[in-house]
Order: sequence, then C-alpha cells, then structure tokens
Amino acid sequence: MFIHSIALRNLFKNKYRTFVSILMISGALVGVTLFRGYVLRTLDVIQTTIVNGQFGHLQLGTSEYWSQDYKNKKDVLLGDHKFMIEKIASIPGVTAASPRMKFYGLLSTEQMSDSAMLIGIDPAKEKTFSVGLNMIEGKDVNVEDKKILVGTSLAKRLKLKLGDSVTLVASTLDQVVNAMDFQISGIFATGAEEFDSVAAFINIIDAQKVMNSTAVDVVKISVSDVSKLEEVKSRIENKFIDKKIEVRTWYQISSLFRKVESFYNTQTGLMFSILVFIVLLGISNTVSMSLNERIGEIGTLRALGQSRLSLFNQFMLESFYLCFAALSIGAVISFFVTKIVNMANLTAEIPGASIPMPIEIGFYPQVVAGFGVALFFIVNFFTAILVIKFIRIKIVESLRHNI
Amino acid sequence: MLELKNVYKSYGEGGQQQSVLEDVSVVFDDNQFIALLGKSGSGKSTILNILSGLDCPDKGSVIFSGKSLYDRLDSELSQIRRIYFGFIFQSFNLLSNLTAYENIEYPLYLLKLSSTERRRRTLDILDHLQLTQFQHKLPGQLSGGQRQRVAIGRALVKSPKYIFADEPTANLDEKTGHEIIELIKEMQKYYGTTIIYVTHDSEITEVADKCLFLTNRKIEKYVHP
Repeated sequence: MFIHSIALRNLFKNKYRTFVSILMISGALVGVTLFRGYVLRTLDVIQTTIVNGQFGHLQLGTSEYWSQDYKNKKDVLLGDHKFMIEKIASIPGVTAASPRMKFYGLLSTEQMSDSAMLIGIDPAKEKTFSVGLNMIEGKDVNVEDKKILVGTSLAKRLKLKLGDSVTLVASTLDQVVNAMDFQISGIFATGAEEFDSVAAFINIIDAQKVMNSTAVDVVKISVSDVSKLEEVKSRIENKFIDKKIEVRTWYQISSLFRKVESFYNTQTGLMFSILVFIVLLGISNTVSMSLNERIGEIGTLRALGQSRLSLFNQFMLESFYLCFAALSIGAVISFFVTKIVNMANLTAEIPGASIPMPIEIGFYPQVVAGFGVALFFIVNFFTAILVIKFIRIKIVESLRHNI
Repeated sequence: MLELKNVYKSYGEGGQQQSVLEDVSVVFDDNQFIALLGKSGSGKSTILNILSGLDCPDKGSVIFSGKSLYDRLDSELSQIRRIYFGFIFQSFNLLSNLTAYENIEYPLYLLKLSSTERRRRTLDILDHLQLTQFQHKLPGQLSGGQRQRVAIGRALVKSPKYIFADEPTANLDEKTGHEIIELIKEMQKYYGTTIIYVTHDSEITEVADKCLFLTNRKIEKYVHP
C-alpha cells in the first residue's frame, strides 16, 4: 500500500501537469471513440438500409449466377424456386424468403427515357420481411400487376409522380425486345443514392412476363438473428448440397458497403494515429519534465538502495494510475457526449446518400475498451522508454540535482 | 571493513581530463567515526562516492566483505547500499511529499520489513532523535536542523554498518551544525555504526576517532586524535 500511496501523492504533487496529461489522454480517447462511434452507427444505418431495402440478409442463387460465368442468363436462373422457397422457409433461423428477378431496361415517359434496374418481387412474400422499403410517396411494396415503384432519384430524373404512366422496354432472356406499360404506385428511398437512382420494383409476375420466363434470379432471405448469419447460411447451403447453389450474405453482395466500410476504417486508423502522435508528443514532454525535476529524487532513492527495477516499477505505477484515471474520465465523457449529440437529432447530407442521414453516435463499450487498452499500452510504452533513460543516469550525476 | 586499494579517479575527457585521486589506499575500520578532511575540490566527496558504491573508480578497487565492490552487478550493489550503507547528504535529500515519519520508514520499506516492524523501528528512531512531535510534518514544514535530523534518522533506522555523511552541516548555521555533529557522534556510539564524515570544517577533529587529510590527490595525513 505504501508504494501505491507514494504513487498517488506523486501524481498530486504537480496537479497542473497531471491535469494536462489526463486531459490529453482522455481527449484522445473521447475523440477517437466518438469518431468510431459515429462511423459504426453510420455503417449500421447503411447496413440496415441495404438489408431492408435491397438484398435482405442472405440471397440464394446458382454458383454460375454469382460468378457471372454464363453465356445466357436463362441457364443460371432458379426454375424450381417455389419449392426452394418452401424448403428455405422451414429452416430454423429463417424468418422470410422471397423470389427476385432483376434485369435492366429502358423506362420511358412521353417526354424522356432513362435506363433502369428492374427488380421483380413477390409482394405477398415481401411483406413477410420485418422491415420494408422506406416509401416517400405511395403505400408500400404491395406492387400490384402493372404497377411500379421507382427510386426517388430515378423519379426525379424522369419527372415521375404517383399515377403517371411509364413504358418499360427490355430484352427477354431470348434477346427479343419486349415492352410493358406500368403506372407509378410509389416512390421509395433506401438512402443509397447509387440504388435509388436506377432501381424500380415491379411484380415478379410482370417481371417474368417481360423476361418471358417462369424462373427467378435469386431468393432473398431474412434471418431472425443476424449474429447467426453464417450458421443459417450453412444450413441453407446444406439443404441444397446436391444442387449448384450458393448463398451469399448481404455483405458479400454489397460492394458499395465494403467500399464505404474500408474508407471509414482507413479514416479511423488515420485519426487514431494522429491523435496518438499528438498524445505522445504531449505526454513525452510532460513525462520528461516531470522526470527532469525528479532526477535528484532518483539519485537519492538509488543511493538508499532502491534497485533500478524497483524504481522503474514505481514510476510505471504512477503512469498506470494516470492512464487509468484519464481513460476512465474519457470513457465517461464519451458516454455523455454521445447521449447529448443523439438527443439533438442532427442530420447531414453524406456522399452517396439520396436522403439526409441522421447524425447519430453509437456508444460501443468494446470500442472504448479497445482504444482505451491501445492508448494505455502506447502511452505506458513510451513512458517506460523515458523512465529507463532517466533511471540509467549515474547516481552521482543524479545527486547533483536538487530534490 | 572497507578498504580503498590503489584508487585512481579523474574527471573530464581527452586533454581536459583532471585527476582527482591518485593511488589512494586506505583502510576504514569498523565502529569508528572517521573524518575525511580537505579543501574544497580536493576529492573528499569523490572518495565518499567511490567508497559507498555510488561512483566507480578509474583504476583500483574498493573491498567490502572481502570482495571488490565494483566487480558486482548493479542489483548487488543496490542490495549492499540497501542493507549495509546509510547516507546523510548536505542538502538533506528528503522526499518532499513524504512526511518525516515516512522518510525515515522508507529504507525499511526497501528492506521489505513488515509494517509492524517498520513502525516499531521508525517510532523508536523518531523518539531517539526527539522528532516524534514532527513525525507528520512534510520536509518543507521543518527547519534545516530538523530536516537533517530526519535525514540522520533515515540513515540510522536500518542499523547500517556504514553511514556516509557528505558535509551534513554545510547548509546549517553554526549552532545547529554543532548540534548535528554531536548528535551524529552520539548515534555512532549508541548504534555502533562506522561513520565516514566528509567535511572541510576542522571542528570535526574534536569528535572523530580518526582523521584523514586529503591534499594533492592523495591522503597526506592519517591522524588518530
């Protein structure tokens, strides 16, 4: 207890310096955890948007379909999808399964035309997904025959309103041009500009008619517990082990999400490195000043017979206490700042988003702990280097300094 | 017994090297008050530092318990200082954020004694040095004389074989300095410790068992008062 009491008293000896050190370390933790909390929350929102609005949790398709290693698309479609959907729906962990048929075509009004990505969906089955599309206008995904839901940016480009008519022109699977008229029944926004600027949903029966096929591309699947995604994925694949079937997660399908995630991770790493650099500059300065003032004390303690190792431990104990206090304060500040920012209900236009995204910061204990431990080790490692330098000074030289 | 054998020491480098000790050999017997006298810069403190394991000689050796002090590992040297050597410094060198009691207790903590034993010995010394009423005061709250008494207590509390005192009265007024010398002498007799006392003050010859005079980088006189 004696050594702990001395360590704490030494920290309180120069209150201003200790305060500055605590401010630097806790400030770094607050900065990096808030930024990471914002990134993870944003990625969470994007993930929800992608899962609910586009891909579902999982999608099942043929291996050739995923690898795009085919000459004619009709060779890689799922012909017996109704039977498959029934089988998938019975697998534990699966909450919904619905067919999808995707193709590209030209949407034309009387004034203009634009290319679009058409997605055929089964409205009845699509409804069984817990969260549907975010509708800006119109009802929901309940697309009836000859009705179409268009993305907000696509609607803006083609100047489409509810009730307007559009003509879809597309090539069938046999490369014959086909056309069908639709009426706008809804305008949606998933939040992903890339998707909302091209996507349109139609009834799967209409999609199959345009494509002149009874097959579908993929089966979209929703699961009850996202943490068991891989487990459910394996169960589904095992169910169709005799077929050339591959199940992909939303993460594997969404290259956009992976790019955004990689971008944010790089930013976090960069920010953490900059903050660590600033903290180390500051800490090495304050620790050096502190050790410089205590050279006389180091010499006296060495003369009294305290070993270098014991002295090293004593100084490191002070550093541990300092870091522990700073990181605890930083964690508490992070928690409250997170609450305050989230209560403010802020929104921002972010690149790649078709609608303003909420500025929310998640408080993730594992993130605070992770960065906290990293800062703890980095700060103490550099402190240790400085302490070693000072305790290696010759005793007689140390004793020349005032205590 | 502590012995200096053909010790050489110089400071500086290259052409600016200045010799401080040349071929110094002397034996320090146990249970004595030995004064090391000499002018300022004569090398008294250098001898003290070399003897106490704080500074390595350029040549020669210091024999302690039959073995050269500087042939040992740093950790062994620390252990010797911890167990056998005590120090009284000119500037007291008390730890400023520890009370008088804690400053005296510190060497016992380094010896890993139990808290009960540490308390018994510390209170005993405080009582002996008439410092009991000041035990909870920080060094900054004590007078120079009181601080030096705490430093003497810190040196004595572990009952070391040798105490090295480097001009302990230099920062004190004459009266207090005289009291401190008397106190050190009294303690030396009571505890049977060997005191090696460095000073330029010839008053010490009145209390010392043995006086060594250092001139021209050598011990010139070896006087038994």
